[in-house]
Amino acid sequence: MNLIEVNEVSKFFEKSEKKNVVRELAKTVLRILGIVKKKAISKEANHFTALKEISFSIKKGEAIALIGRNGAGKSTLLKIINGLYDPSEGSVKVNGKIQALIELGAGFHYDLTGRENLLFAVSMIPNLKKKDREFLINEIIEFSELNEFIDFPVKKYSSGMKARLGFSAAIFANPDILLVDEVLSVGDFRFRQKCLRKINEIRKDAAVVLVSHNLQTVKLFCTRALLFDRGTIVFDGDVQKAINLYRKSEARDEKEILKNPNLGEDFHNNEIVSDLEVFWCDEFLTPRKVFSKNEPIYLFFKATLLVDCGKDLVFSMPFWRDNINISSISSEYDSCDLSVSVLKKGQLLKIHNIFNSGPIDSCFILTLKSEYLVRKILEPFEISGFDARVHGVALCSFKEEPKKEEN
Amino acid sequence: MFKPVILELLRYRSFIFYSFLKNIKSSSRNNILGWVWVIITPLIPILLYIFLQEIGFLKSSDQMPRAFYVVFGITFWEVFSGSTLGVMSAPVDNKGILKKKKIPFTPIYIAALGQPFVTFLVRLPLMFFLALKYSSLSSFEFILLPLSFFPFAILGLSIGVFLSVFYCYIRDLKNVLNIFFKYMMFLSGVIIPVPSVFSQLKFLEFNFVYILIEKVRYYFYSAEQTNGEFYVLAFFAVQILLTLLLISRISREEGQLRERL
Repeated sequence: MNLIEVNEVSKFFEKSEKKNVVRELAKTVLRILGIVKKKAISKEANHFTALKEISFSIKKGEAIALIGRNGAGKSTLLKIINGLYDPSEGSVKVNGKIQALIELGAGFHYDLTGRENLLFAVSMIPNLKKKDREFLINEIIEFSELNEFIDFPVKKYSSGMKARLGFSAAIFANPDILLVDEVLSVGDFRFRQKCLRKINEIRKDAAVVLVSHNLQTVKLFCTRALLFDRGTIVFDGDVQKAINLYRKSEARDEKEILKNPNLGEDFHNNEIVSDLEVFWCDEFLTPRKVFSKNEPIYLFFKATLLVDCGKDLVFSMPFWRDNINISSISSEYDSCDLSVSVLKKGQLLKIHNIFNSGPIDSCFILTLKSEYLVRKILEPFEISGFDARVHGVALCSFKEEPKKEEN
Repeated sequence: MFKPVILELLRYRSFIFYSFLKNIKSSSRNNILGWVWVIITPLIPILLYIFLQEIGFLKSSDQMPRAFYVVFGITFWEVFSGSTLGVMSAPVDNKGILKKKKIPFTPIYIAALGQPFVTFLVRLPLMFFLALKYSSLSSFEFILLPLSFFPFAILGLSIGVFLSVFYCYIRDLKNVLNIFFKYMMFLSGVIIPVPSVFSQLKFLEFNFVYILIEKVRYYFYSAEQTNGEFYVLAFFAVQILLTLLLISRISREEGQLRERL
């Protein structure tokens, strides 16, 4: 039996709230008074589409990941499934009790103690008898490992403790469908494992819908993935395939990455450097954007120097992933001929590839003493072969060594 | 039509209770006097009016003693205005929960009646004392005194529920209503008989809450002089039906309203 059935669901939001407030209010009031009948909201010029004709179903025991960029419509869909938003078109059929781990600690009052807040949180579970309520609260306190602090005001809790309390309060509702939105990073590593164990326990008799940008969690936890792009499902199926597609779509959308202010701006001093050409390639100068792990990366650049800069000309290149500067190369540390004649013909550099899979951003920089001559943000290249069990941005390698015995 | 609303209220009865308790507890935390404020706040204006009467500043212009007139009037008015304002702003005040949890609006509305209920409970002993001192009621009519909370609370509930839709869209409403309630209390004979203040503005007596207050007040002053109980009972019954109808209608629009919070 399908626990969730989403049929042709679309959701439109107004672009400008202020302009239409009176019109929308009038419509709502007329519908409440029964003067106007409720009908599906059609897309109008001032609407933007958050979700477009989404259809899928979820069975018992399935764990589905919703992946995609920010604004792709994942959280909106979760809210529609949870019944918080009405779909503008289409319908959602839910067979079972839903529990959402969307924002941990929603409704907590920080002046009240942990126990008082738990009493309130548990009271949101309908039809719970007093005896069951007390039992549940004790279970939650035990799970959250906050026994010592449970009678302290929540404002005195650390952020980790608040998250633990919120997660524990939400997870113990015995749901048939569990909706999880980016909340699996609660507490320390040990507590996170405990949470995942608990969700896995629930999963046996329920369905889990997980929204996460953490592809490692998605890979380890989910049985199926839906890839979202601008409000539509572009892929529904195998988790690994969905992750690969997601990573490709991320790398493809270069323009957006290049616009990222964290990577800085392009700059070119045309009075000293002209005819600049820079690209990633292989050893035969064929342009490349994707490299395998451990495969050498080649950079080709040529330029016409209008002034002989001598040894003061320095080439450098920082590398970024997820806006974090992870490594760099520089002619200050490795030898590189930057003379006028060599640069005119073109220089090919072989770079030792230490990167783990994923996209890498970079920037080509030529400086004359402390002055920038060129600062050019390059198209990102991709290191292929995603593996959820390999962590980090750099790849350490090893080889077996025979033991040496002391005489 | 009304069954789902009533079932919803039963399902969420413990939420209503703990929500009310949470509001009271959180408002008294970090205060030196704590819970005492819950009692002091509604008592102060009453004690002030009694004091003003005792020193002769307020003189009765009709047969009803001014202390009786003021205490009953102000209590009923504050139950009504507190219910209206509380219920109206309840969805917005609880948006942290409503936007994240699938809690229906109905229990949130009902929980908002908690504060006016406390105000009423605090003043009830004083009302009993004044009724014993000044009125000639039978013991049965005395039993009805605590129930006088309901017509005003239900009236406030129904108006508040309707206005809550507007308040989700236009937040100025609370300020407007606050001013309206404050001035209408003085202008429409709730605590000062209208003719003695603005004899030329008799239309102010047509404040329908004032008419209801007048009926209930006179009933508890002298049951023989009025047919207030029938008026109130009929009003009460119609009001309950109207409120249930309104809540069931609004529950269909909850998704739309949640987006506006």
